[in-house]
Amino acid sequence: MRRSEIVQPETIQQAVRALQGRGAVAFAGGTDLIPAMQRGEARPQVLVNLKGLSDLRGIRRVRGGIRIGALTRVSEVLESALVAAEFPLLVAVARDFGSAQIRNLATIGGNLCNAAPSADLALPLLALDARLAIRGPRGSRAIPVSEFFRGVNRPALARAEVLTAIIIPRAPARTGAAHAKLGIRQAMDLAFVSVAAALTLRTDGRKCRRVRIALGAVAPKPMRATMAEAKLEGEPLTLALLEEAAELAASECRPISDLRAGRDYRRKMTRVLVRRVLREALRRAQPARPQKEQSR
Amino acid sequence: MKHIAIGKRIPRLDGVEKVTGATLFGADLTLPGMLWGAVLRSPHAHARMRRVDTSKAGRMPGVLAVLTGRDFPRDDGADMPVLARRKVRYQGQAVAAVAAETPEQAAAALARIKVEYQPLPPVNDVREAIRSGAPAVHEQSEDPKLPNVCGVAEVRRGNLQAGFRQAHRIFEDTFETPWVHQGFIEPHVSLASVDPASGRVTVWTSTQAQFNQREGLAHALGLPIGKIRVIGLPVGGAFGGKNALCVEPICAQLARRAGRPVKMVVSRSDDFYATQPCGAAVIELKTGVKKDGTLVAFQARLLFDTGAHPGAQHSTGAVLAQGPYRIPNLHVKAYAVYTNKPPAGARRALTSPHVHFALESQLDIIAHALDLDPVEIRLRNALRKGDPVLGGASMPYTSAGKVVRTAAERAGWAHRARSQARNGKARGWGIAAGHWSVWAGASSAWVQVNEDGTIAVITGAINLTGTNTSFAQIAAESFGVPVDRVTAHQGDTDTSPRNDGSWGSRILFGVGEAVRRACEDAKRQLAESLSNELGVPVGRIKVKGGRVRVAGRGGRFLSLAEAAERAAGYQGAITGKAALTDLPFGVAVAAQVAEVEVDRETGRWQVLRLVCAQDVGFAINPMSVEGQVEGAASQGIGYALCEEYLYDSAGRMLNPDLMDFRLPTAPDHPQFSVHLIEPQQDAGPFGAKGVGEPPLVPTAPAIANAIFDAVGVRIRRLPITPERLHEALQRGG
Amino acid sequence: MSGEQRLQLLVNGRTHEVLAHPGERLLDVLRDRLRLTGVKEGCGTGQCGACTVLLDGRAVASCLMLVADAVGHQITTIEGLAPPGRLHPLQRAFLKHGAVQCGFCTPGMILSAKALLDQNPKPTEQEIRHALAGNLCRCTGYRKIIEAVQAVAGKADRRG
Repeated sequence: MRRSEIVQPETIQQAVRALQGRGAVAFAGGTDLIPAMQRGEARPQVLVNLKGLSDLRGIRRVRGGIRIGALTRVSEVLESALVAAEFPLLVAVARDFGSAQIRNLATIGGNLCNAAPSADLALPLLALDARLAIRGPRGSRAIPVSEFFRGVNRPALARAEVLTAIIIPRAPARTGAAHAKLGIRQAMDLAFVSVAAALTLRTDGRKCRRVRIALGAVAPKPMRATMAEAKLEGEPLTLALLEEAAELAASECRPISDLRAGRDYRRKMTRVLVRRVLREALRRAQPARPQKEQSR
Repeated sequence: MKHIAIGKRIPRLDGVEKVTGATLFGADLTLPGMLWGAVLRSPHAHARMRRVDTSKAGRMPGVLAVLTGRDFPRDDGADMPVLARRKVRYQGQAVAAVAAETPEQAAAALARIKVEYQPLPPVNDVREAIRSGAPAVHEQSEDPKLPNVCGVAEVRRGNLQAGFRQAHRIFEDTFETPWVHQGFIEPHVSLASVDPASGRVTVWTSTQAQFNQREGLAHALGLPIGKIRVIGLPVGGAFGGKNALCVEPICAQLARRAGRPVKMVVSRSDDFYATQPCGAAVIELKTGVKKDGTLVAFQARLLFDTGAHPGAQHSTGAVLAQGPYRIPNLHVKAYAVYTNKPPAGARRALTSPHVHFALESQLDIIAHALDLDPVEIRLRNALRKGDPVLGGASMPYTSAGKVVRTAAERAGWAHRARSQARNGKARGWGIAAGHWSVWAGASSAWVQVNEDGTIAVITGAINLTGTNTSFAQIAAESFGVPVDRVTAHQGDTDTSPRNDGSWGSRILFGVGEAVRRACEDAKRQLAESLSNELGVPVGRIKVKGGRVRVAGRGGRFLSLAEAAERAAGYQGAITGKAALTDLPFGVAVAAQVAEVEVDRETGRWQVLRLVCAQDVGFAINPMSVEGQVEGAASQGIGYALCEEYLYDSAGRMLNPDLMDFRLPTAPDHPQFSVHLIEPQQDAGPFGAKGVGEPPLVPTAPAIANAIFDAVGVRIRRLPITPERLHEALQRGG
Repeated sequence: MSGEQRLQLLVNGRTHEVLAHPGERLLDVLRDRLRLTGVKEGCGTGQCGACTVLLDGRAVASCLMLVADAVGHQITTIEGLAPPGRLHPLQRAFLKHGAVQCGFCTPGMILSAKALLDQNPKPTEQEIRHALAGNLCRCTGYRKIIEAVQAVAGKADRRG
């Protein structure tokens, strides 16, 4: 493996400046970059090590939600009491991510910026309407996560831009979320299909106020099944309607056949997983049994 | 009979160094002045080599040697050349090699070697390969109508047509198994150095077979055997993949050319090509049965993919295809077929898992069709004492039925809940049996009685699976001393007696028996020395129970230590020895019951429980034997679940990495329960026989049978991926 | 060699000064400079777990780390698990329960188990399997490994 020069910026400005240099690549957890370098697919001259930027780490409350620094390790997300309280979906996805050895190195920002079609953490963030804070030569900006993926391994980052934080708005009451991923083994596999969804009910507890359905590994980028979402929003949620939404989600995804799975299978499994995830999300969104009213 | 050392769950004697990380594997070694070797491998599956230009590489900084095919003695046969000459026949075939001061310099030099290839159409699978008109992997084909046949093995018994006439029903099924890597976690590694004065070559390597490799190196380098020393290193897993030479000849030749030691560590991705993986197979069975499930006729055509060079053990497949069953009329024809894939090598239980996947699946097809219990049909047909097994021999004793019955009983087969569905998931149970023949091979041992009465066992057997610990137990038992009074050593080809490779589950059986005999020889020598020294007839001297009894008037006991001290003074050394090649072979039967859960909608499945029974002869170390069963079954789970070489149409491997060549992880494994049957009738030490390979054989078919039980769908191809199972469920079976 | 720097690494409780390029893999620096060959390379891509070391008590794949990122952290390799001549309870349990065969995965496996028990002293069987998902073993089928970990967890429990 070629040895790259390592630059250790101490501020985000320094990082941005360093990334403007020739052959400079951002370096976070290394769990995607280093295997790519081992395979000879990536040959960066300069690695700009973002892990020294303390602003980019940490999970804290902000007004209306939670802010997760882009360089927060996946294991920190998994173990965060704050995330567990607000967004158990994110904890569940983090638990299924790679192995302990990978979770302790990989960062949430790195997973997003690698922008694989199956980016595990993209899906719950899509389902939760997260926003991404970005810093670059021209200053700061924030975009919805749904606008962050351009294509296979192509995040919406201009040259020398750095993803700095993920902001997740607090979920309204009566929100339930779930996820599922399908591979061969019980661990370590790159999923053939993965789904995350968050569903919010109206005060009547029947109609859907809002739903977000995120699909992974069935398109060049992590995507939202917007047609399926439209089918559900405003409607009373019956199992039959969830099934229709699942069918729509399967029709709007664009899977390919590759060495892991075939296109048709992926499409069919999208329907199965979306249905399962929606049912589980609905179950979790529904208020608790009348005897014990849970206060928020 | 109470044993003091055998039959005990003694922790591995080399265990402390392993749990502390002190064991030095090949990659951990360095030699003074060492260079790094690297290999250039063909990107093409099939191509002529027009030109190999190493001129630039030879001038690169730090490069001290460059080799091509011309640098090895000519070999025009079908056997794999060390470095390809005029043709490459598989992706990954070695075509050139360099040695340089650093790995980076070696890699840079490889990048400067120019090879001009003229690609040829590749032959991608066995069916394609034997079709008339297929491209020839090797120029000479025996029969133009059946090209690319490397070897044929045929076995017959009885009258096949008469057998089919007796059949109530005949079943025809075809099964397929994939190419798989043996999956060892330590990639191949070798080091070599040359003594400048004598030209003698020393090779340190992660190998199962140091003596066999010495012979192979002599051939590859054109040197006499006596000029080569092979030192077998601790092996980080092998499972058949480290029997054959890998980079050893290249490493040795680089060292000779450079005049300095060379180390070569094969990368994980290269190991997929460089090792000789387990070849794929297509198995066609035609089986006739009576109404009660008795097997009366068995006809099989087995096509084993041997890849680019000979290596697939088609004759073993032919011999084992009948399963552990009594079949009066059979005809098995097994072919090893060339394709443009890596040369097939050994894998745990060779081709037994392939043929049993087929036969054990078909037995369940038959049982289902005839409305018979899968356990009953196996018991009905199980081999009994005296029944012919292929190879002209007969079953030494009746055990096959007992093994099947044990697995079924311990699993609770008779009380199993049938295909319960919960939450859209279906559960099912499956049983399968399998067998393996255990032969001794060249087995020898030395046993030294040290002057303080401690014992040293020295063999040339690679301590692959902890057999050294078992040897110490055998010696301790023989002398009647605690195990901590015994040490067991693996010598190398210069320092220990010749021994065949650690394969075939033969080490405990053959070498263990040699150890036992060498102990008896040592005891005899000790008695003779004392006899001569004391002037007592040798018949009055008995070495037993950690002591020496001198009978007769004024009879007395000497401790072993006292006796040894005397003998050391009188005779000098007490070194018992034994060598054998031939023991009455053993037949090891294994049976497993798998309980699986299938998600009907996705095709994904999981093994919940695996109950394993096996005739092990006698378990010298039950903990170690269980470990072999569990480990083999683990590989069987991988075979059924997720392991498969994937290729494109140009014959290039798509998944040479552990992300997409999947080995099963801890969460993929079930609860195991292991039940050892010990008839103690085998020819190995104290009735022991080989245990490592048989338990890989029934696992995949037990799982396939359980999946059928759960969802009514029969998959005739491994691995049973969720997608394949889903497709079959959609088609309705 | 160009680009090499003097780096201070805190390994197994001691500070070491090594001369290395910051972009070298931690795996290589541990093995080649510090001769800690208990850390193994099985794949180089973070899939097999043979290279597992503890970084501030957490299991990481040292083949995926650059040595620059190890500076300032506590690294534990198998060699540092117990003082010389002594064995950690996990090492003893692995021996006693037959959880070691070829031994190549063993250092990484034991360290992952230690990281688990330090965080979760009484894990369920599923939690043990999940914690060891990144450590491939081809020899044992994991049964005896899990029994060894459970034995240590159980003992800790009894001792209170």
